[in-house]
Amino acid sequence: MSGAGTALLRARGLRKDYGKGEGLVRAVDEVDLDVATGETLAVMGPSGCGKSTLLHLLGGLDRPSAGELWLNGKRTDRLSERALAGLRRGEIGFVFQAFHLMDELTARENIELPALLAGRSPRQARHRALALLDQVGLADRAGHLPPALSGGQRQRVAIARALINDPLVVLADEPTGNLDSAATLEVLRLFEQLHASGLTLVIVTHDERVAATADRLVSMRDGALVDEMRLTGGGRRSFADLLRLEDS
Amino acid sequence: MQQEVVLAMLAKEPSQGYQLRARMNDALGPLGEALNAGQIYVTLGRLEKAGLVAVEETPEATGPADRDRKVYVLTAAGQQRVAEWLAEVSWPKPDLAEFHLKLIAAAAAGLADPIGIVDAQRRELLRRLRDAQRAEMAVPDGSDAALLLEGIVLRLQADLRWLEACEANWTIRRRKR
Repeated sequence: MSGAGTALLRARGLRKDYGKGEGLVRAVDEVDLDVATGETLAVMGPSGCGKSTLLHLLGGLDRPSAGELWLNGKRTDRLSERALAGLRRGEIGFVFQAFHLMDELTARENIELPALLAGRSPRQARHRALALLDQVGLADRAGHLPPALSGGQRQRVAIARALINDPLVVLADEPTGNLDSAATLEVLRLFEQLHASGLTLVIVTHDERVAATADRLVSMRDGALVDEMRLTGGGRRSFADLLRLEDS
Repeated sequence: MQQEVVLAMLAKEPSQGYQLRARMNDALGPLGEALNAGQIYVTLGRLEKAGLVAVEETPEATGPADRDRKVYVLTAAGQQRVAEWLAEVSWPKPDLAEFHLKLIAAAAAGLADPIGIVDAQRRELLRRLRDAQRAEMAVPDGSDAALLLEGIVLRLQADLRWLEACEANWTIRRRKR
C-alpha cells in the first residue's frame, strides 16, 4: 500500500522545529498537503511564515522533525542520506531566487551539470541541454556565461537546469524575487508553457503575479496552511471592468 | 465612451467611425473587446451637437442610416477641447475608502468577519490579475496593448498588497479581542 493515493507529492502532519524548550520555534506546523500530477501550486505568505522551510522539507533539502512525506507513492522522510541525495538529483528539480548558477560555466554547461552528476554521458547531457535551451528560448545563448545574461535569462537557464534529469516535480523558491516586471513575465510565460506540457510545479512566493498563474493557491501563516483557493476555470472574463471608458 | 477620448482620436485626421474604432482597438488590444461598437457613434453624435465635431458627407453616401460613410472632422472648438484635455492632470481614483469603511462597519456591528470580506476581495482580484496576465502574455511585447496591460497588472498588484496589509491588520485586531 502506497498511502499516497493519486497525489504525486503528499505531506501529512509535517513539522519542523528549531531550538529547544523556551526557544522552540515551530517553523512548519502540522502541514497536510497534496500536490496532484501536472498541477501548479503556489504557496504564499509573508516572510518568516515558514514557506521556504516547507519547500526544503518537500524537496528533501532538510529533514522534518515529525510527519510523513511521500513522492510518487514512496515514503521519503525516512530515506538514508545517500538515497535522499539520489532523490534530489533525479526526481526533484530546484529553482532558487538567486539563480545559483556557476559564473565560470557557460549556460549550456550549467544545465548539463546535474545530468553529468547523475551519470549521464557527456554526449547525452549536451544533447539534452541544447534541447532545453531551445525550449526556454535561449538557443542562441548556449555559450554565454551567466554574468553576460539578463536576470530573466539567467532564471530561464536555472529552470532548464532543473529540468535536465526529467524530474517528477519542480520546486521553486521565490523564482521572480530578483526580477523586474518584464523578466517576471518571461519566467511566467515559461511556467505556463511547462504547465501545459504536464510539469508538476510547486512555487513558494510572495509575488501576486506568480500566485495568479497557479491552479491552486495556499496561504501560510506562522508555519501553518490557513487558506486555500482554486484559480482554475472561468476562462477569460470581460474586460469592461478594467476599462472604465464608459461615460457615467 | 468618454467624449474626449473619441475627440482626441479624431485629431490625427478626418476619419470615419470604423477608422476610429480600429485605432482604439489597436491601442487597447484584447481590452478593446469590451468596447461597444455602437457607442462610438452615440458619442460622435453628442460631439456634433456640442459643435466640437463636424460631419463631411462623402459623395457615395447613400442615406442618413449609412453612418459609416460619414467623415468626422474636428472643429476649431474641438481642437481647443483636445488641447485642454491633453494638458489636464487627472487620474482615476481607486475607491479604497469605501472598502476600508466596509471592514470597519462590518467589524463594529458584528455583521460579518472583516477577514472573510478581505479574502473574498482577494480572490476576485487574483482572478482579474490572472486574466490580465494571460492577456499580457498573448499580445506582442512592446505593443500599445502590452503597455496598457502592464499598467493594469501593476495596479492590481498594488491593490492585492494593500489587501494583504488589511488581512494582517485585522488578524492582529481579532487576536487582541
